[in-house]
Amino acid sequence: MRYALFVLVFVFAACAQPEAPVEADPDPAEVAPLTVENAWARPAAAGGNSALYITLVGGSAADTLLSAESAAVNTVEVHESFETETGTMGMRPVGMLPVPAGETVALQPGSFHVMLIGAEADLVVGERVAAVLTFSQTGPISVMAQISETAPDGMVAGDAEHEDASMDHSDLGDADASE
Amino acid sequence: MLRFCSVALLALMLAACQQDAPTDDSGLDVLDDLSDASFALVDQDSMAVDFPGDFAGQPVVLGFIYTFCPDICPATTANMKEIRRQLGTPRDVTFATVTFDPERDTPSVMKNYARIYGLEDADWTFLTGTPDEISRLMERMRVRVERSDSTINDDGSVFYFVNHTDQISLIDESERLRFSYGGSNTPPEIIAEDTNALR
Repeated sequence: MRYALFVLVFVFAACAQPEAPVEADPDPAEVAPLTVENAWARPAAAGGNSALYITLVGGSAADTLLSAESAAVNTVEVHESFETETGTMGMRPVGMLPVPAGETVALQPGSFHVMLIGAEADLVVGERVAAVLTFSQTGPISVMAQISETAPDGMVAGDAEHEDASMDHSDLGDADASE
Repeated sequence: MLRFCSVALLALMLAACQQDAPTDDSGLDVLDDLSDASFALVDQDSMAVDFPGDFAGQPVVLGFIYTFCPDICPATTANMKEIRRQLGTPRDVTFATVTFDPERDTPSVMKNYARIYGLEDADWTFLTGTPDEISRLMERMRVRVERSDSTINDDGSVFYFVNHTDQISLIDESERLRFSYGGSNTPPEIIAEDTNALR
């Protein structure tokens, strides 16, 4: 009887032990990776230039677009259109483009874009152009961009295309731009 | 007699004031009468064009671009195509695109640009010219153009961007500038409506 009571107390004590914290590795399925959406590019004649637009959807960790390349053109640079101090629009290369965790960065007309310089052959509407975007955390991501004169249906039209149709002529003065 | 003279003088003054007044329903003022100007340009087939004289007689939708431009200028061209589509591809409106980078945009380059945008057979004139003549035209049309970020390539060629005004201009049948719009971002239906009012 005394032995049985001892066992019962031991079992009870064992059950009452607080659970030790588990330091298990995170489930890879729960780590959201950076993804890309809505890739499209302007047409260009052989030797000419195009711009590739794409939406970068940040994952669960901050990432950075480091570079881009494409076998379809001679040179690829990430650029940004911007408004200068004098009110004109300028364009400048962007060394690296941060993509904060959980945030979306849109490369779109009139803003960030991947500039495709010196097309090896015609980039024709309806076809696609391949590119590789390299990120600091995610590594390289291959994209196939639909070639279109304007943003295909459902894709981001951007800052440079079609403002409010209800504006009057006082809102419609020409805009200075830099390309 | 004095009353008659006063009325006659008033009528004369009124007539003088209304001489340049538009007679259409567009509601657009005359911003600049270009009929005194003559710019010696060439089209995509290297044919001589006297601008704006050769376009007199019908409205002109004129876009300003350079073909090296990957972001803003293609949007301007696409905008003009949409204006033209909304107007039903009219034969009584001239669509023309002029470059402000004539050093690189030769007639053959302009022709290639037209082809890649599906405008090769579209009765759409692409214009270039000598740097001096283009510079004179841009000044008259109030298009600001500045080179920026020039670098020299390994082969010695110069790589540069161009700061420029983003513009589509509407010229009436009497060679008068009636309005200049933001080229890439103005809703095409607005320019189409204005153009329609000038037909």
